[in-house]
Amino acid sequence: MSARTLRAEGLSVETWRETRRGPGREAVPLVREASLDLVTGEVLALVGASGSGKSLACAALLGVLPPGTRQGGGRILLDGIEADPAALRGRAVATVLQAPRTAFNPLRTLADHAAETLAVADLRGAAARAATAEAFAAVGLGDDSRIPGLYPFQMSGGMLQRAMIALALMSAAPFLVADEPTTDLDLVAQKRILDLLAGLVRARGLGLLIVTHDLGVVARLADRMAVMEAGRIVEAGPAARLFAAPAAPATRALLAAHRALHGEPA
Amino acid sequence: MTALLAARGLGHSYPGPGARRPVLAGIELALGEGECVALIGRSGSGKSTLARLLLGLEPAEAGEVLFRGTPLSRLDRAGWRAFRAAIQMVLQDPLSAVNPRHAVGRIVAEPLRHLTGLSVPARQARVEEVLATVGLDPAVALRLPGQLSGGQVQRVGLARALATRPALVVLDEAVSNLDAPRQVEILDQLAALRRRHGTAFLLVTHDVRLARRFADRIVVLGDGRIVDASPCRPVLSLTHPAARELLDAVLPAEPAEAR
Repeated sequence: MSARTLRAEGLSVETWRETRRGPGREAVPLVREASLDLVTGEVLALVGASGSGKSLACAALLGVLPPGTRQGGGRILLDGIEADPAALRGRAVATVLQAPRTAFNPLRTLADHAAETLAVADLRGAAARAATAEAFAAVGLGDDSRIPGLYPFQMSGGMLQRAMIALALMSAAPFLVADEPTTDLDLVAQKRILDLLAGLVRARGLGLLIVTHDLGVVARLADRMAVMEAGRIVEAGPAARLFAAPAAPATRALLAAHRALHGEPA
Repeated sequence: MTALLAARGLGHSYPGPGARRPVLAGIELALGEGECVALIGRSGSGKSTLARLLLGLEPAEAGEVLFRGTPLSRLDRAGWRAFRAAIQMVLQDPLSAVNPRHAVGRIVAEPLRHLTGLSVPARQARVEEVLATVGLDPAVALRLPGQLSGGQVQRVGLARALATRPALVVLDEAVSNLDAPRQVEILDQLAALRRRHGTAFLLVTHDVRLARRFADRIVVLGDGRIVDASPCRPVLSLTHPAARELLDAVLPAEPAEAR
């Protein structure tokens, strides 16, 4: 049976610095008691200005905090049962990152990457080839039989991002975390990737958490949104409601800038 | 009237497997004094190459770039100095465009040292002035780039470009990676600069929203050629498929239920 809900509860992340007076260290909070609820078949957007703690909250959810930070609290619940993030990664939760070029081994072809991903699920040989073809077709890379043989440097940023989504699909995880998946792409490639993600959420009932600083991405894709400021989630709810009636000053500021760029009255 | 900067029949290619791969062909473009033009196109359309040729960072294979009527190929040493002081640029990745070991004050003063005859105190005063212009506290002059946020380092790059009081600043995706509040803030500061000093801008971007908000006219590059162009006001009118593709890719302003 596939999971239905993934809840990150009260996540806190901190770093530390030497205290000004005397020996010892003091904690510096970076994410403060952030809770996120993912439901299959729904898109949740995590938004906020640069440096608000969006990516760190995601990293805590995935159990991949960078060096120099540590988790101060919180837990992950899969269908209400506490789970170890490391055990969920690649099984219940797949990830797509911002810079696709750095996420691939430059010396391996796309087919090598796919084989490695599928070996984790004990899929090899003909079954693996079939799963690879299916996933590549789902992301629009199935038309050209030469594609699996390509190295990352032979592919555009948009193709690599599609390939990364294909690898995520191969894990058959019900939840997908995408941290700024289209920030490095031009707007045309961005639109195609967002259309692809929206289609996959519909067709496969994926639960998608998308991290973005672009409210246009939220408007295109999200059912619900959560707004972060200074490490805290200051507002959360249906995207349409937050666009129509933002309560938190951070949400209002993001919306005002977003609408100014669209040439609408703020 | 002689254009500030003009491209005449500009063409260029890069080495590829086998033959050279053409990236630009037949480019005709003139930027007037104080004019603000947006150059838009998809990744790989040749935008950055055109910007590099216009800045004289590499010589064009075909055609020529004219600075106030003089081909760059005919500039002498003093001519290049005047060209470099008049035409400045800001790049997309701010951290890679500054020396991480130099304090901000030294970074911003660098073009003044090489391109102007200003005395040390005059340079220092000018650095303080341009830092204030881009909304940075003069105290950041003593800090290193690594101690600042990405948005702040991008402003340092902008302050450096403005230091010599250039006639034109080329912004190659210089605001694309910032979040929306920072984008609006910087574009508003640049618009204020234009009004005060008559600085011209060439904004290179794939984001039609930024182009439309900031520029007087938009020039569209597709597969290395200028395929469409239009003033932004009263109405932007672009019809070429490459331009429509960029316009259609603009994400909705509001969620479907709220529209």
